[in-house]
Amino acid sequence: MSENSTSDATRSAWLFLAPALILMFIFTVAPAMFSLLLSFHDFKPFSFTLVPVGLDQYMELAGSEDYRTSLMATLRFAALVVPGAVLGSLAVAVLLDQMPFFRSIFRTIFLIPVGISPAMAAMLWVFLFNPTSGFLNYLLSTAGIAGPAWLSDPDWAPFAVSLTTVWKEVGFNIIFLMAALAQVPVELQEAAWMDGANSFRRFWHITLPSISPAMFFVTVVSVIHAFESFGQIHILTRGGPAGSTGVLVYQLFRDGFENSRLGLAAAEAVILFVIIGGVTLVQFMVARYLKGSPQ
Amino acid sequence: MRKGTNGLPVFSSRLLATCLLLVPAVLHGFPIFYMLSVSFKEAAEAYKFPPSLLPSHPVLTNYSDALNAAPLWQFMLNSLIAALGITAIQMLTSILAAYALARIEFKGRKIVLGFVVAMLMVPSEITIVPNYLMMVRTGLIDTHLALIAPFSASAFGIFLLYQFFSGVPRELEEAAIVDGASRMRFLFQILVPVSMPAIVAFGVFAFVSAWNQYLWPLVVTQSTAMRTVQVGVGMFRSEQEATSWGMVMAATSILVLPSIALFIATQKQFVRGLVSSGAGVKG
Amino acid sequence: MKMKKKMKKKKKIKRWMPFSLILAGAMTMIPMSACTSGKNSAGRVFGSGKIKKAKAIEFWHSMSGDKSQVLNDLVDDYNKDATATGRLPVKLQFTGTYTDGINKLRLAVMANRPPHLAQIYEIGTQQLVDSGAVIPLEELIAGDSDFGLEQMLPQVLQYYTVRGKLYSLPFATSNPVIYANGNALEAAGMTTPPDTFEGLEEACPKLADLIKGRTCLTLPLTSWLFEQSLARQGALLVDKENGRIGVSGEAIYAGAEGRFFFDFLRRLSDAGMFANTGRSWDPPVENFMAGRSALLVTSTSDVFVLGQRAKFPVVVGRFPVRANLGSVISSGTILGGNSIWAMKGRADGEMKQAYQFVKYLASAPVQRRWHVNTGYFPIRKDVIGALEAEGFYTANPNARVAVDQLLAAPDSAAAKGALAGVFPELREHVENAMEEALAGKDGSGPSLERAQAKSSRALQRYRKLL
Repeated sequence: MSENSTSDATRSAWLFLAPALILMFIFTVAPAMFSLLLSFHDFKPFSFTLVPVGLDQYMELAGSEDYRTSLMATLRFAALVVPGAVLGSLAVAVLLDQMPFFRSIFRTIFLIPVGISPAMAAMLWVFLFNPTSGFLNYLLSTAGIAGPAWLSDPDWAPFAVSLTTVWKEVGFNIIFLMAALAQVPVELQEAAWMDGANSFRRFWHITLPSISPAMFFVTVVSVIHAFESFGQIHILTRGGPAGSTGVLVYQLFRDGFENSRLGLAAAEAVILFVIIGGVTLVQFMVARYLKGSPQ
Repeated sequence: MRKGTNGLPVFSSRLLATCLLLVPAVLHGFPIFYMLSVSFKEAAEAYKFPPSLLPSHPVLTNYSDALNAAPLWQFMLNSLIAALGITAIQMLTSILAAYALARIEFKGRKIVLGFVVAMLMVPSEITIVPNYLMMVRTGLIDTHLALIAPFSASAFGIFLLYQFFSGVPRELEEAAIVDGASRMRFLFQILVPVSMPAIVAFGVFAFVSAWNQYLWPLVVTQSTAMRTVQVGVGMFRSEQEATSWGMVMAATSILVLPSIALFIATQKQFVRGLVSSGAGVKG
Repeated sequence: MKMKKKMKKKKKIKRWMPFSLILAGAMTMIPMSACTSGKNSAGRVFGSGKIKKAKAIEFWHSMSGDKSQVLNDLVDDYNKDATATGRLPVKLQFTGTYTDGINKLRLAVMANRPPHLAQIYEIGTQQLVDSGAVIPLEELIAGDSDFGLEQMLPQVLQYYTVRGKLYSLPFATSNPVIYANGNALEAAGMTTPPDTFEGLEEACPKLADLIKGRTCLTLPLTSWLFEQSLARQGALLVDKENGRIGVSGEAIYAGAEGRFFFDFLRRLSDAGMFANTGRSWDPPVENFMAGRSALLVTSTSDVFVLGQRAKFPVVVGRFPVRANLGSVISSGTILGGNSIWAMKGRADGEMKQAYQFVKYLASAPVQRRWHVNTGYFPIRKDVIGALEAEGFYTANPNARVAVDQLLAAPDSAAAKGALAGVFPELREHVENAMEEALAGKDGSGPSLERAQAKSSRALQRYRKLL
């Protein structure tokens, strides 16, 4: 290749890359950096004029009872959603792997919630949670249990929101777990069966380890989704009652867009970035490690 | 699992699985079914306790009320414009960029690739506030452009197509060069058609993702006329007054139907796109 | 060979179909979006592009329900004459709640597309003054002796006068009053509602009728009423004389006077005499109207509606005082409501037109109409005088209460009400504390102290920005 064509190639390459890179710079890279800058500033009233406030906003978050509540709400939400979404999807995926009849219909039923938005999922569930006319409490009453005021009771609202979220997310996990289950070497299974191992032992000792990379992936993605949840919370509970469902993204929305404290919201975004980015990075590295190591 | 002679699991396991799946499937499908049921109930019946599974006298009034309560078609149009705009620009920019990364040997290629992968891990919350300020400053609040612009490039799209393009045999390109085709011609006349499954999968995924956005449209639209489907449906959720649930469910039905229909129609491609987005992060 | 090529071509087209369809569809959306954007600008609060020459005066407001109807009628009448005399008509734009209203205004100012006039709640005053984005009313009037400023009640003007400058036109002005169920009063052997807190507490068991499901008192858990109780006791909300002689940096409401109101409500609540319906304004009114509460404390702006729709006689009394701390005659109440602000950034000619509309709103006939049709009281002495002369207040004594109450307000910082850039946040702190105190977790002391600390921090944060 002559000198001309390599520099030609480089020029072409950059031309092809330009639209995407420029757009990414304008709308992702620059804003991300600006968020960091913004987190150290506040705005004059009704103005774009920035006033440096140093670490004040971070200190405010550190000392803020509301922010602590928000953190707790997020952790609790993740603790409720992740096991439910992962274990529930595992159970369904295993069943679907057994090639039941009407398999594609079943699959579609579990998958549809993935294609609709969190907002829609919330709208579908909001009436079900109604304390007096809702079907959920009616079902409970037939079992003799008095159902709580799901969305207005601070003790139960997190469960309500988690239930809606699990309902929506399970399908996503099922896809990956089904793919992983399909790749479990059948020979190992059959050998184990011939050795007299029952289904449970086969599952525990052969299937689970084989799908553990997928399980790990699905768990981490569920965690990340939990940390980024917003739509269903805005519609179901508006972050209440008493902040019990006010997860971090909701707090950011409230501070930045309802109370117009954009500098504070930027600080919250930076913290969220560190948390989510950290989790994603960990997941990324573990995945590479798993890929690199022999099975 | 034990397999019978046809390669499928034994009949008894299949039957057992089918029965066991009925319960979760019914529970899972119930919200959608119930939404439809309530949407046809008369006002008084919706509040009845104990609630009935099916309306005793189905009515259509809830649907007309819903259509009168808010400009539902307008919401859908706004979502359509936004989602199509985002998908089109993402596809275009991603195809161009992925081609360069996959097919052109140039200095800095590895760096750009690393950059794209890094962009995959950036959560969107870090860009919301500055993008919002940008929209305010340029007077683009409450416009379609504001819904589209920040999402016009997609690291996921670039990465997905890069992986696919890389897998396309070099002979195709070499043949094209011999025929005297320029890079652009090769890209759009040969590579893209060959990669259609991946591109369509990405397109469907991008479209659905854009259609389902909530936070950004909520923040960047002010007037009812500009709201998207997702934000619009949330407007029917009112906390204090006694809501007409029948109408709320009717509105939700109308607004969720396009998503469900689209999903069922493009399930295969959507799932393919979804899996690739996971694969991208998986590395 | 030819067949193969044909097949290849067909396959190619087939493969291209979905992509080209999508692309084509997308391409048509772009011009479509431009068209629909234009069509939609009638329904949109914001539009794209530079601010054009206005064909109407944009007036943003937050009135809803009956009150918005009256406002609509007033504007329609103004516009009728406008076309005849070549003035610019006024276009009303509803911007949601008071909070939405100020947020939208902030956005609009930042985007350089403000309306000409905006109606903003009273607690937004400091922010607007500090923003530098408004034209003070004084400057707008600019010596027009026709405006009638001397007719306006100084007690009302003083709220919106900051550092000696009058910034906005008080528009919807209200005070808190006690509404009493006439039948309950009779049964308790009273003719007017109690006028002291102590008297109220004493009378409660007589006024309530728990068998019939009627409690004594109901009111919204709003900071506004808490602030009123402070004013009644001559106490301040924030330092620097309620923010009137300088930018305040410290909240000082957690003292004995603050605790007094909290404890008062708590005692009533514990005795089952107080119906707690949260912070919203509507449920207490519903409670009262349904006969479930003998007394209601809320804004005087509901006086006519309540009088007309109640199925029992309604007697109105002044917001209570503390028995040993001065009489109800001479204590202050802080006004509530909203005012109209003129915004910078529009053409001078248009603002002159906007001024004509403001003048119209401030005129005696309009003020009279506004008062008689809503419950907000008139801010002009001549209107009050005229109504008195006509016997309006003899026929509607309930409407007189708030007016008298306001006229009796002393010229003190406590009675003037506080100015704070972070007032909405302050109210949030106080209301949270109210809820906590009533839920009984802590006493009023700790919850107020916590709220006060948060408020002080917020005030200091705001001060740093100026």
